Amino acid sequence: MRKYLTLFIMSWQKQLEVRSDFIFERGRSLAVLFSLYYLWSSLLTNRADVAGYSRSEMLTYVVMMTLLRAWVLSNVTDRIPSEIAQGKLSDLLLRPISHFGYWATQDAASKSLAIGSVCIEMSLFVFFIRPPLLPPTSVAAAGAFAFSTLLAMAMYFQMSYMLGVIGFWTAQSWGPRFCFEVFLEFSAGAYFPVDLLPGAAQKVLAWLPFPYLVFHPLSIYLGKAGPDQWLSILGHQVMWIGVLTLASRGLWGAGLRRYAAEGG
Amino acid sequence: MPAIEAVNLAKTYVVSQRGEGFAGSLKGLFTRETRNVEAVKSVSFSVEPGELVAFLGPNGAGKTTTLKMLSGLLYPTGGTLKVLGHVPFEKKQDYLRRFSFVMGQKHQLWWELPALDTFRLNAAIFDLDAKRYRRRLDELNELLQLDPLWNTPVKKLSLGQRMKMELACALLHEPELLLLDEPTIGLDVVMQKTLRDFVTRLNREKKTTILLTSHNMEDIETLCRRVIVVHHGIILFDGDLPDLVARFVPAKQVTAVLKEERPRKDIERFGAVQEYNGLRAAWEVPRGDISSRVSDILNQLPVADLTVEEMPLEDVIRRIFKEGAV
Amino acid sequence: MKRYFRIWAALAHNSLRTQLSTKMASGGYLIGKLLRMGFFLTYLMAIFKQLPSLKGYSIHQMVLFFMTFNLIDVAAQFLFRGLYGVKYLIEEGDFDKIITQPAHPLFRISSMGVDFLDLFTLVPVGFITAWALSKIPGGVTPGGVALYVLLIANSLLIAYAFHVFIGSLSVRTHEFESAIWVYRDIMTLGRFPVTIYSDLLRGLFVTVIPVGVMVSFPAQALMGLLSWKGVLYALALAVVLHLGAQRFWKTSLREYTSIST
Repeated sequence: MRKYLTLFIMSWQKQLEVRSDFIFERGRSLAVLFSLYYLWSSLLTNRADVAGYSRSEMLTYVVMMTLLRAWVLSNVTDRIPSEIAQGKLSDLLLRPISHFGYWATQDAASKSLAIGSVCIEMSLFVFFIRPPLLPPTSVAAAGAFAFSTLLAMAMYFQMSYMLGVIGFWTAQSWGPRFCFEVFLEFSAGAYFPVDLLPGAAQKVLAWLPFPYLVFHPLSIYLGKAGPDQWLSILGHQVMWIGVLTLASRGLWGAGLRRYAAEGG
Repeated sequence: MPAIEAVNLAKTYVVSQRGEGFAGSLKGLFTRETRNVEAVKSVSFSVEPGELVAFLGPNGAGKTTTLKMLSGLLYPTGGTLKVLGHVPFEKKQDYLRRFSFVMGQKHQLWWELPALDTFRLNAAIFDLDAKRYRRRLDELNELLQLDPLWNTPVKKLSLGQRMKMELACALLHEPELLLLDEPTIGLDVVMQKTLRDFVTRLNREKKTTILLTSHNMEDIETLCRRVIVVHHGIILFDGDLPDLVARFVPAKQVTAVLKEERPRKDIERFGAVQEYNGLRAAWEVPRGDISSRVSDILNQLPVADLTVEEMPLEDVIRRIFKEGAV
Repeated sequence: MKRYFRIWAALAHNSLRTQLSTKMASGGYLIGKLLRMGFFLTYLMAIFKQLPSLKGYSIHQMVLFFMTFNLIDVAAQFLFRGLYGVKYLIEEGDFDKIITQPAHPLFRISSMGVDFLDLFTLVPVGFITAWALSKIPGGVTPGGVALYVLLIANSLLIAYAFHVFIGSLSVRTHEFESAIWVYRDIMTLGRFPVTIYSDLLRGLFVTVIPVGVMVSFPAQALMGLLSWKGVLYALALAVVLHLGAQRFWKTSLREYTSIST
């Protein structure tokens, strides 16, 4: 366990050195927050609901979504391909540490920084802008929301790890990765709640894991999903974690065989 | 008119002591704690057109800083400098078209692409028309045998091949002045020689003025008549290479090969022994004593062969910088 | 002028050849950008179906603002992308080469990252802009279009000034490469008209952080909603920022300390 702790601290330091990614990510998240917050604020002034969201519900969604971007969607697995390309992986494979654990630790380190940062940012935002924030509908809803967020974090890590492992096949995986992340953010509800979309699009998304990353946890928080639906949401999340774990293990194994075959 | 004229040229770097991290650098914008580093204290020299001059000095002596001021990269903090009739830092087009600066460790060729693509870019930058461009490619090819390499991506060239390409690319526009910073660094012996021959021809045939820095004493010995020795940002010596040796090393090296072995104490009678293995001995002998000492050795030892040479340049340089012999 | 075109062509040729070796990466990036644009439009349309206007703007006008943002974002990247990498160029020693060759260094550096895939992104931007324009009641006047083109060029001049300013900071300090990302993040605040923001923010967006001048003004001018004062202010601001950035660049070169010894 100690090696993971050391690694955790080391990647903390590394994050602070290579800070341009971090700053970019934080800036992006704040820009999304500001633009969407004021868009909704203007759209819903003196106006009825939109798709069943009142003004304060929608603004709460935007604020909470910003938090979940840091909690759930932050990652460092985009560095996996460059480690493979630079041959650092061989070094890692010789050590008594699992590749998955190695990256999970680094991810946790970077996530803790993002979370720390987002908490400060949002405190300032709430202090100065005073958004009409709604609390969770009940204590039970708060608990279900927290649990669902944890499951979303596990789901997302498996996904982003898989994207990193594509680096075994090509050194240019950042192109498809960017593409995938754009799709993911929109279909996860990290810009707008997905129930604003036309019905057909919503039906397609229901078959995909993405809405379970941001949209469904926030539905629990806002009470859009009542207690009768909690089990279904959490169950879907657990199911997706299972599927994604199997897939990422399989992909890692295949990648490793390819790596060995080509002599690194 | 001299090609280069520097009078009391100086460069003091203001090194800002910044705090750590982004916050530190942000803070550094407003308040700065600074420290001055005098890289070049005061150097004056002039170089005539067509000369080939070497800059010598240990790391951090100010050689590269001086070259960078000559090229217009750095803004001198003191003194005056004219190169080809221009003030370099103004970076007038007319000036920039007439010289070239090659740094041994840096490349300007596009890494992923064949060298020819960078050549085409340089042809555009230096405004060579198609005819002149063709002619230059042929000339450089004849001098450096580049033909087999044109279409290989630069990243796949060996270091030596790459250096040839770099040099060719830098010379595409036929500069009157060439600044060479460590051109042979990292190259194998054969490639070093190719490069030196090329530089010699360039200087002789094209009358290109060349200023070079090198740690490789063979470069200096074969290429340059005149050397400028820089140390701690000032000039220690400026003159012909033989004079440098005569001035800083008041001794020559006498080497004798013996017909039969002699004990060390027999050898030591003739001066400071530099090398001894029974059959071969070398002494350091003051210049004034050479003839008498040589005749003593010839008379008293069974000499098969005897030579009198200047001390190896490497030793000379080491001695100058170590003893600060000024 | 002809020489600069030749230099630009050679640089563009080289960066095109470099990119062809990374087709998958650039292809994925292109599709990602189009996808993002598509999603934004889909959501906007869905929202405006239920809430048909925003501070007096119709959906088609909102689309025009959004497309103007895309146009400026893409064009600025196409033209100035090379300036993101000043710090890298300094570290690699390429910067030394560039400033000792007879072509304007800012021109050289800006043109180093020319990416023709950017231009593909402009195709849908053009079509969608035309569609949105056709839906605006009363249409647009030729004068409006002329003013639009002028103000877009003006916005690019402002964008250029920011790029030069950040590049100069790198020359001085060998740092601040992240500033360019912050700039790009801030630019995205212009996806929607700045009228939606609070008074304080709107004030910032037309002065210190002129996202509003860069993105909202051209679109407003196109729809005939911008006063002459606004136009003159935008032009003056661009000139001031440009001159300031150029001056800053020049003084930064004096403080430049080439890294290697």
